[in-house]
Amino acid sequence: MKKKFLFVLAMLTTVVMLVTGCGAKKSDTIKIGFIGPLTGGNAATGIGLKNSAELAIREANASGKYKHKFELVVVDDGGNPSTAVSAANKLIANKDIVAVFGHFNSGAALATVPIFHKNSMPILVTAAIHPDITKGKYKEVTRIMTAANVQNEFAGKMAVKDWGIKTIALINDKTDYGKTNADQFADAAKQNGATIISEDGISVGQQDFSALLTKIKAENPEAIYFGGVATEAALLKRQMADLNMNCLFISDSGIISDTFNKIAGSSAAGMIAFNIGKPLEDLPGGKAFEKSYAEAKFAEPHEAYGHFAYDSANVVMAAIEKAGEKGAITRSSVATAIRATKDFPCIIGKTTFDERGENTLKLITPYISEGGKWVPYYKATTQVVNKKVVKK
Amino acid sequence: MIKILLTEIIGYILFLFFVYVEDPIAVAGVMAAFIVAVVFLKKKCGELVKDLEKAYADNLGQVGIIAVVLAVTMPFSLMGDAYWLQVLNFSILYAIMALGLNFMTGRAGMICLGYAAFIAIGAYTVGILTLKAGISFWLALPLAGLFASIFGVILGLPALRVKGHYLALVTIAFGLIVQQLLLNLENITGGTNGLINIPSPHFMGIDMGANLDFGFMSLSYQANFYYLCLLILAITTILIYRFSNSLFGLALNAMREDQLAAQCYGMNITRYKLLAFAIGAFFGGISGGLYAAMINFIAPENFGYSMSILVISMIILGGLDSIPGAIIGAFFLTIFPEKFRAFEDYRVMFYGIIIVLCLLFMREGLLPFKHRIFKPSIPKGEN
Amino acid sequence: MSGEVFFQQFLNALGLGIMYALIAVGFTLFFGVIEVVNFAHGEVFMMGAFVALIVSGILVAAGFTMGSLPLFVAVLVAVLIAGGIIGVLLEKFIVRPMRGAPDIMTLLITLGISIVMREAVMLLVPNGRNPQPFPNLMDLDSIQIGGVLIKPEAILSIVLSAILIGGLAYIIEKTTFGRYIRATAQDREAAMMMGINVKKVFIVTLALGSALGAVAGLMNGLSYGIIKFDMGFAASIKGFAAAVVGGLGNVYGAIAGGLLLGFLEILVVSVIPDGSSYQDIVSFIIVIMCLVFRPAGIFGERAYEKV
Repeated sequence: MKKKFLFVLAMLTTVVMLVTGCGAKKSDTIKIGFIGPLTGGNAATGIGLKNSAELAIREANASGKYKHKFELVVVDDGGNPSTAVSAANKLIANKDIVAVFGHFNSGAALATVPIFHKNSMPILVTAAIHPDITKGKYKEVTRIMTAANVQNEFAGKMAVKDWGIKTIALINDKTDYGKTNADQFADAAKQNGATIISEDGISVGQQDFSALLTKIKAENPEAIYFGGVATEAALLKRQMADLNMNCLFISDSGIISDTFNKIAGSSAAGMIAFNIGKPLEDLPGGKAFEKSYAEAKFAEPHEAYGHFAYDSANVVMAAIEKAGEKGAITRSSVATAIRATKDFPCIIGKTTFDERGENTLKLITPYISEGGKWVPYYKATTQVVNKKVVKK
Repeated sequence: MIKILLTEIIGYILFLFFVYVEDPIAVAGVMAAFIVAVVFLKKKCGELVKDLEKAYADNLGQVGIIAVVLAVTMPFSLMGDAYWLQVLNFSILYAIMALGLNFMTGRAGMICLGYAAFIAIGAYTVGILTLKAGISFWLALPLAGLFASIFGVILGLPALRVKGHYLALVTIAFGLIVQQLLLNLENITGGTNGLINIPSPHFMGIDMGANLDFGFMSLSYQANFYYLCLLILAITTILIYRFSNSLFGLALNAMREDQLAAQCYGMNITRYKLLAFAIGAFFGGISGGLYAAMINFIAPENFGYSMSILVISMIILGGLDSIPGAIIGAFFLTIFPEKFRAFEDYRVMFYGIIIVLCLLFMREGLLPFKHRIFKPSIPKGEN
Repeated sequence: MSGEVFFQQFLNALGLGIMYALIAVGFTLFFGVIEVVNFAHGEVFMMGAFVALIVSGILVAAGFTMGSLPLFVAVLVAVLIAGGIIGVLLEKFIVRPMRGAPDIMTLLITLGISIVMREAVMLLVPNGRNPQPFPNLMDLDSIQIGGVLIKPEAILSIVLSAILIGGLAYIIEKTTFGRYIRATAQDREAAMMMGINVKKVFIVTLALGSALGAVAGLMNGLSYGIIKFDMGFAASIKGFAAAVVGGLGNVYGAIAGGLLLGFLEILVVSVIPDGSSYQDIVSFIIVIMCLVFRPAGIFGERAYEKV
């Protein structure tokens, strides 16, 4: 009996040994970690980020402009804090990795940033926009994208000063994202002289807003601001149309997607939203990126934020190279080098980081929905006149 | 003794292989080989398996001690790997939760679909007390369990009046209410933003958030929490085992099988039910408190309905009312999906399938609850 | 609150309540006859909506005009049939094998299968994780009376629900098979001894209840223009709550419970400042109160435990 048992065991052990033995390889390239949502609700965006980052690394390795070769180690943050923490630890555990960039979801980034700091791993936040991400002023934490508060300050000012809005009803979806946007917008609008007449929360996944909108309609605001994402915004817009409400409806970057236009259908027109960044084709390096991404023949599109990952990868590689010129390439020296980035040519423009770790280059664009598409306000055929959206 | 030692070491080595094999196909291969080996052993060497089962059942103390000794060496075998230690920490936390829920649902037969609420209460207690009131973690942790217990009793009150299906609804509602309150009471809970930068506990002057340096080997800071969680899991297991085997535990079993009959025998149903809720909730609160101190960040979205369901699926897989089952179920359902990150989108589906298949074909779970056979004075070996 | 706003809110509440009622009827029917709480019922609701989406797509491709009555009727029939089939499958593979198991296990398995159904739709429907736009099957114009706007979909939902619930009431009260159902609900063993095919009663009950749930999903899609793989969970909870408030097992109670819940939610949103944040909390607290103080529901009879 026992012999049989041991025999089976020995077999098992050999098989496993062989498998592990084959897997072990050593490489002398420099490794960079990418962390982003490759699964879950934001998977498409995350995969776009990952592909764009890979493109940047491939190009750098092929061009030979750096002394070192680079390799991307990709982990999935699932878009949520718990998975993100595990993923961050996976990168930290890998001693070959000297720098990390990525993140799309602010919740995930907020959870991992202290961990990266604790392990002195530099993290260049690519597309998460919560202002508090850089609040700790850690030398390891830098962000390439503009933070949400800038977008909302811009939006609040534009609504009040340019469009003359005096009374605003606020709605938020009670998520981190939506609530922060709504609060910051409200602050900016108040500072510029508008009044907030009501503030309501809704739940993500809720479908019936008719009661809420009926109530708001009776308050007769000049504009409604919604902090949240596409689905709820689209439902609100539809149900506003059902109730014959035609005040301005303004929202944040979370609703800028085809989902909004598809769901809101014919009632989508005239929706206003503020976004961070600028349309790719209007950015300095946009066309070139579009072309090389197409040539790389990735299976998935780069999505809305791919170029930010491309830029992040380039900033990180240049910083590693700089750190190498000055001395040893360690996590700490790379962190210092990333923060010292000055006037670095990116797709989005010349990038410099301030002492908090934010990009000094701020890009905000208002968009308006027209004919089932999001059009930058400066190119649109409709505009806000007398607090209403009209054709030019 | 030798048998136990040998089998536990084998398990240990297998786990290490599981960790170090990177390729998912190879992992699947090893898993398949393992299952084949187990089935083969059960079929061909039935006596050996029975022998082992008996050895385990008769020497629970030894089993526990060897397991603990092996577990203590784990961070070194993993070379202090932050990622796998984190995964292990999560498994231990889930095991504590599963033990707590199992006490409510498995032993006392009161279904709870809002268990995540207790975890949230524990996590927020530790978060708020250590972050905002500056209270030491070591005081906050028992308070986390206590607060969760209080909420357990509050939830238990309607549970006295309703049972079965109604209780399912009440507990789901409870879970959602707690989550909504966490979202809406912004001044205290930080609302949707949650609590950021919850301080790491200090133990005898050592920051548990710092790496453990041994000179010859540096363990990532997760190792600190690993040992803490392990200690608490051991205490939890012993406590739950004691509770289950006490007259109180027996009474809960009786209540589960037939409440009316139990009442007729003079059992104080009110007290027992509330106690079961309080105990179950207590361990939820403790694990939540540990979670908060370990991750340093909590938000309401982490403690949703899906977490309640995950813990339920762990105890179903392990076997309702089975203490080793709850632990194994928690470890399996936390560790196994980690190797299949590429199939992350199928994870929830996998939990659902586990629940359905277990209930259809393996109602008693992987390690079924063994019915107690009272033989107090018969010496060993006579049986 | 002005008269116009009041009337508008009243209509909003009626539309919401009738949908809850239609889901609650299924819960109450299953509990009354088979003595199971089917947590997968919300997923039947969700699948009803997805079947409508897919079938309408196929029919439009086959030459039906979008927004015409024949298309709507065809989709409605397809949803009814699909709901019935899902119900039969649930009975055969989930509910029947669990007969004799403790209540808690039956409840957990319906919970398990609900997860599987939800995730399967998410994974199988292209881009299923995101909400799907629902086609406008009936092209009707809004009606405006004074300052009140009446959505045609709301009227359609109310009328359709009334017809379906009426039909169900007719089957249960007036037909021979309805008598079998009532007999089984009252006393299963006695019904069996009287030669009633209880197995068949179970199948038909699940098919009927599920068909109604699926139609509720269709109406949900029509009213809001959007469907999503995870919409079944909220539907399950609200429908179950409505059935409990009305007294599990009582079909008319379920309808009243659904309407009550709908009106309550709208009341909370429209009267309390920032009430929409507390909408779910208030309705759940009321459900818990109801369970504690009137465990048999508002219309339920006082039950004594069988020993």
